Amino acid sequence: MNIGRLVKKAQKGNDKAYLELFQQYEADIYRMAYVYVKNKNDALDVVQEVAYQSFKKISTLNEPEYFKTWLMKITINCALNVIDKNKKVVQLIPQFEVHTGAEVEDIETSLSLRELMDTLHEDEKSVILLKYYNDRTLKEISEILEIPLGTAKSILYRALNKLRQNLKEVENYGK
Amino acid sequence: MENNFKQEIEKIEIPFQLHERSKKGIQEAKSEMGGTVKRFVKKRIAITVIAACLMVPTGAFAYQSLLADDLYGSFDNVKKHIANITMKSYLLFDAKLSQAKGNLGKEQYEQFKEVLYVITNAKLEFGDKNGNIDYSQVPSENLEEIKAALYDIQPYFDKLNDELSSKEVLTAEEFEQYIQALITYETVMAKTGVSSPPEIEMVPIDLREEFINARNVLEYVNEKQRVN
Repeated sequence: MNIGRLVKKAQKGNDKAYLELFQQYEADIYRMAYVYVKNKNDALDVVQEVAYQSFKKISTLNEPEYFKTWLMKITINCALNVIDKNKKVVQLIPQFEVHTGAEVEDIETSLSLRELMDTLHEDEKSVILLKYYNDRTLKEISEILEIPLGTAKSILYRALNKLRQNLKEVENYGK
Repeated sequence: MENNFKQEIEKIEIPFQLHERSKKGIQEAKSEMGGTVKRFVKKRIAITVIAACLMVPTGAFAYQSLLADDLYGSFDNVKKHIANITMKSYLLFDAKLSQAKGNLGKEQYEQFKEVLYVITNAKLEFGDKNGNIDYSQVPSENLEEIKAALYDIQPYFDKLNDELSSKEVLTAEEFEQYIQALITYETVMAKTGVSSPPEIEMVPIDLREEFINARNVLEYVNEKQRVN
């Protein structure tokens, strides 16, 4: 069944149709969330929250063809919320507990994925993910993130520079 | 470097709980939204299925004057074949027939009864204890006959259910799909062994996909009959 039809059904409150629809994107949502929150449990929380919020608001989506874009936007917002919340919580946790390395054990991360997650600031992650993972143009990115086109561009270049810089350092280190 | 991103991100492993969590989020939202829409849709599916499957009536029936007796012989006869039949559903079926007689006009009613006869017979011969037929077990020559009857009878059911005729609101191809979906739906019900439309969790895993597809077709037709 096509996406447009599933969206329409979901808008009428059909949760089975929405689940069928949402399933097609859950892996993407999970991976995007992971890049921000850097651990499995928080990323799963984000997925659940995105499923919850998006189904609640599905009736407000006027054009079904923007469904994926709309979902990605919700994903980014949810991920940022989780990070904010964690920042507040982290202050209450003694330092030694933060360094248990739990997030590293979750996944066998390659250097560049790890880099991507650790080097970049949140807004840079958003631009990079939308551009290279979701194949969005800069103009679309500026609309999704609600920032001026010029700002989107400069964030992208800043992010790429950071990563290149990092790569160089790693290469030099290896020599 | 850029082309590498996608590949890198794909390396993030998908945990097995992922799907469960999506479902949980949606159910949470659903419970807060209230279930009116869903119940409505479900009820309509039940109506379609019952109409289509034709009323496997149940019933005790003492009155030889029942129209249903014309088709089934007697309640006792039905009871012999379809164990789960109740008096209530038999009487309901009879009421539908009376309504049909009133609504359809004499000639139409005769035609209707003729087609219905094929279906009720099939129910007695091939139906399980709930009167559902597993069409995959029906010999091909009978299958053709039953299918043809289903094609012919559906417009009458629509009329009796006060619906727009499915044959008219659908294209020929969609109508074909619709009848096929009804057959699949009933087959799944027979294989699952239930008397009313089952929750998806009750359906054996290997049948779920075709069941969902069939259900989607029925929902689509319902919507179409309502909107038009």
